[in-house]
Amino acid sequence: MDFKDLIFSLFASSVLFIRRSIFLVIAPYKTMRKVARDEDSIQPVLIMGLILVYFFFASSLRSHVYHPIILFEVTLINLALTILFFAILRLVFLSEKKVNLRPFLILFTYTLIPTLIWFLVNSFLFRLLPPPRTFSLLGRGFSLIYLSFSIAILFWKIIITYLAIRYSTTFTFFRIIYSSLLYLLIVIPYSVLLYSFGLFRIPFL
Amino acid sequence: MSRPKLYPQRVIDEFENIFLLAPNNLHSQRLNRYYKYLTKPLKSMPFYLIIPLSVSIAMLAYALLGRLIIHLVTLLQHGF
Repeated sequence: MDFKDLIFSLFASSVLFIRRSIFLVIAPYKTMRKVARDEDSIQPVLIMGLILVYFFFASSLRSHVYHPIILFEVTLINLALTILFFAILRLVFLSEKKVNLRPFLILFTYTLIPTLIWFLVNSFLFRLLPPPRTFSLLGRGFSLIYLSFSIAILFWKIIITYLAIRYSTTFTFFRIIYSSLLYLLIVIPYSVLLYSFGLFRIPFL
Repeated sequence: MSRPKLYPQRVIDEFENIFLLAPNNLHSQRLNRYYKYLTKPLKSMPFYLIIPLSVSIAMLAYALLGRLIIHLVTLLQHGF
């Protein structure tokens, strides 16, 4: 692949990524179905690139104990472990000999978009209206709007993650619920561990 | 000699998309019906449902927990 082709494929993947990110809001079911059939490896790289940019941006707003590169590496490890966890579950439950990790990679990278949006908005709000929140009328009003926004993003994240598990593992509803509970059983102590090391207050998952 | 195409490629692609996965089976007619009923509005434009639901939950949490919510928001704002 020469330089011209590389630029064209990068541009095409960027357009596709922006389009899919918008359609994840409008039609998450259809969009994740399309993402599941995708073979483009540039889109996950673009999402991870944005996350890296975000970590540098966040460190400019607030001094973290660790360098943004280290936080990014931890996020990469989180993603890899999540993919591995669900891939192993698929191998075990469906008694398959091997599994194609590409759909897992693309789908689970797309699940990081709501997380990225929440962290980005949170960072902007931290700059715009720094905490602590007050008990005044405006303070309470802002708290309610902020909480509603956070809950809405959480619901969106749950839907997209559910679809990512569904399309990557082909599990049915109950099996997705069981495997998600098992995943949470591991993730909660892991998040506490990350918190105790001062890496993340809220894990970037 | 190649056989004539019966359906346009777009239709074939759409069918392939639809049958990518077998439909969810919850092992009960009633549960399947509830599942379809609940997931239908989430498949397209889920925010029409998510936004009112989130606002209601936030209001309810504020009504139940009061000032604790303000502390929670302060905590979340430090979360990044």
